[in-house]
Amino acid sequence: MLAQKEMTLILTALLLLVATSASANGRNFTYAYQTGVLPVNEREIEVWTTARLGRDNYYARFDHKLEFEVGVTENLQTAFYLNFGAITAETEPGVNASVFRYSGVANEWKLRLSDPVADAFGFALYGEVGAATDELKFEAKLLFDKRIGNVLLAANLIGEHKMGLGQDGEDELELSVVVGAAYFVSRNFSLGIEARNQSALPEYEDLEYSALWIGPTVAYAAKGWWMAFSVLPQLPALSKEGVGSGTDLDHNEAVSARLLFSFEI
Amino acid sequence: MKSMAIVMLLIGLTACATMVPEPTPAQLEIAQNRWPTATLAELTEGRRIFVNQCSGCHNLPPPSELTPAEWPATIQEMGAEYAKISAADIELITKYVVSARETPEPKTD
Repeated sequence: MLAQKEMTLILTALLLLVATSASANGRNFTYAYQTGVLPVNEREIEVWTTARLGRDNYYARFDHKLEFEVGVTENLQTAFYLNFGAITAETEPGVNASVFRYSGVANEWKLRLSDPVADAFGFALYGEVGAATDELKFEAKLLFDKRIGNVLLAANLIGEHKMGLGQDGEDELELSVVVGAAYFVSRNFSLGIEARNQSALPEYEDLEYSALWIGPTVAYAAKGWWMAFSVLPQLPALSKEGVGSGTDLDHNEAVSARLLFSFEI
Repeated sequence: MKSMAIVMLLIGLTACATMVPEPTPAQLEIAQNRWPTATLAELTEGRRIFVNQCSGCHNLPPPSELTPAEWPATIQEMGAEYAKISAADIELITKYVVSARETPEPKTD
């Protein structure tokens, strides 16, 4: 409970910093990464909140990420972040339990190789290392984006290796594809759609699930800050437990909503 | 079917022309109408700074987004006040963007 209060204070203090902000590297999607990187020595804070709602039984989970980004060179940026969250779930019929937890720290790097406006298409490499008390994870992404007139397209190919720690720890491979399309209603405001497919292969063997989410996204950027918001309901995916199709509510939620808020410091 | 769609998408993206063209001798001639001492190297450097600096804070606006009269004040405001770009680099960006905006697009037929 104390931890929740502390986090609320931290978030409030960060929001108050907005008044002193100048500029920030805007995003138009919440799951799909774009290829842009911060200018050298520019810094920004990103606050992520993801609501993950609805499984086979009652399930409400809020994941938070507090991220500090900095531009390293003209085409390279890095970020450090802290993950934490709260879950309320039905542990036995009619009984709900809540838990607040820190989910580890991570460091990411993004190298831009081409720009979506200046070049034929934008391309960037992304790598991330994360550590928690019960697992280590290594994530690699290929980021693509392209601006055509008032339309922005983005696609990410993602591979993530999770290495379980401790006696019960198991390794897992997660493969994801994220795509998005956004239309710029004005220079600062965009409306779009995002789709995310995530598949898991525990111990690099059989497919455990393949889940698909699709939904609308909206983004607004101003001088010094930006925000993006999406609501992605889960649709029947290609495979559940490796057989047939259907939504996967054993491992994943029925609806995912994400809010990103960022500002320069 | 999936791989075909991905290949088609990549071909489509690759086929799209850049919205921020590399400076050409024709663009240099137009730039020299305003800045007689402008060089191709300056325009090239202006484009590099424009791409790297401006896309760091927002989606890169193509030169066609504003008129030649609107660009200098916009670059000055954004560059000096928000992105803290040096006066020399603001001048290079302005030379590139304004001359790119005034350069007719090459005919494709």
